[in-house]
Amino acid sequence: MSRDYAGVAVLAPVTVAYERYSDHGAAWFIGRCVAELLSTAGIDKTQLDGLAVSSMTLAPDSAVSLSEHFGMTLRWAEHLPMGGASAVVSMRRAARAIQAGDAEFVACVAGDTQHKGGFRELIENFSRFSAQAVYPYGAAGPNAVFALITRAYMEQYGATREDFGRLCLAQRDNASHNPLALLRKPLTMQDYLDARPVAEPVHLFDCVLPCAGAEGFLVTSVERARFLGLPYAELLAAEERHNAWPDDPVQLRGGWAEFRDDLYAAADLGPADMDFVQTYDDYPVIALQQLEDLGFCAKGEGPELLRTRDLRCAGDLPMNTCGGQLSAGQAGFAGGHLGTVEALRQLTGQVLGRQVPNARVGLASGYGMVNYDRCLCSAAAILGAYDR
Amino acid sequence: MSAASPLELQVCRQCARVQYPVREVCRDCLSGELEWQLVDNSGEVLSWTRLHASLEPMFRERLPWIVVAVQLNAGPVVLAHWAGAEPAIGQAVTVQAIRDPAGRQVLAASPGGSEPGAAAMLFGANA
Repeated sequence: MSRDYAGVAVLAPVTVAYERYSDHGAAWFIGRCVAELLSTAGIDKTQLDGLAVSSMTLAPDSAVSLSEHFGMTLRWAEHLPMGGASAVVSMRRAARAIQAGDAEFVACVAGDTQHKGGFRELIENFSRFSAQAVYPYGAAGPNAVFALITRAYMEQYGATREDFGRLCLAQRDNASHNPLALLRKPLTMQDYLDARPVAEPVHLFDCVLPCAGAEGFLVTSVERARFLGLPYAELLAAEERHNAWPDDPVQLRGGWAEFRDDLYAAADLGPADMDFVQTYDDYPVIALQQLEDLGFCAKGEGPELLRTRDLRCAGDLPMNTCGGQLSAGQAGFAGGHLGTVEALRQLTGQVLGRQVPNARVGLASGYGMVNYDRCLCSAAAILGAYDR
Repeated sequence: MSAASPLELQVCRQCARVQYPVREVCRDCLSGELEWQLVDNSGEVLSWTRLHASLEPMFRERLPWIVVAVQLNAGPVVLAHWAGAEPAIGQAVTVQAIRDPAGRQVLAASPGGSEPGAAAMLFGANA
């Protein structure tokens, strides 16, 4: 089989509106997302023969349990424990299934609920390493881990809190046009700097708001997408890495730096060709590392990029154009699908907020699963509009 | 390594790799023959954070609370509670195992050359 993803169409960006807390289970959000995917594509439930699911609050159930829950018989099922990298990875897996003829329509969905008071148990037992070697050290969840990474990055590359503030302000501006973003109130640099410390140097607006919700999209063949008359994006290139750079004492780069050249070569494009980029923004420092590792600037020049480039929708480097997780909220593992779904919205003209002018090609990256002192999964996809 | 090193970590009998967190097999050679050994407990601060929020009452009543990431000279990176004035990246430290108020054995780091008792008192005399 060829390395490329020729003939594969990715379509039907769907978001199930986020809620701060919900009494529903994860299956409600995933089920409503599947229903919305079907109506968006105009296909019947019996035509959907593939399902890829990512969720952290669905356990002990999985994609398989959901087939019974949703009354579906599947030819192809995948459950991805890759957190914020699951969107790109499920798209890769689904694309191969479509190319091989193992499935005709695959729904790639991530959804999670958020019960009041349910956060502590999720954090305490997120992984074996985390339970034994992270949680006992202050029980601060990912905030502590990413505070350590943030301080090391600031010291190594001279980033300041103002630099991270620029990123957060730009994303809030993007969110102000997105009716589904939980945080839309304009954010000033003074608000950002004056926010209460959570895990220094991480302060309140460096953290995402955990919530309930779902994100999803469909993968099928270009032929079927055309037959249905639906706008779609083509998957031009995609890569994933797990446990890249294991001997780096602190995670100042991700797997993106290892696969970047292959990714761009496969698409025959470079970073300058991207009309937008959707990074995984659980914390500003991680979004910034993606910009560096994916070649939008050299390593360590992220702070300077933030001082000179405009990340807003109308800017010269539109990033996280729906507001990202920092403003839209983090609906569990759906946080990783947010950027991919937004990329599809931009490329197919179905935006919730602002349309990036002439968006024809864009990049969506993912990052997931903090197991000990860093996240292990990195992934990225380059997508192109069908009519580019 | 001092003869009185108070730090035991998992060591591979096959390849002598020191590893942390605890694993079922060696991260280098995948041997299942692992044992606990006293290791060099010196290292340096890779990064640190001052926590102002916690999910556990035990820490909430002690905020703000400092946690450090330490590169041990024995090989692994460990997270540890901090016993000392504000730390600095690159600062030399020693790491020892102590008991926390929940009865867990945890790691505590203190500035290199400080009194061994400093870390033991981290959670208070009644811990």
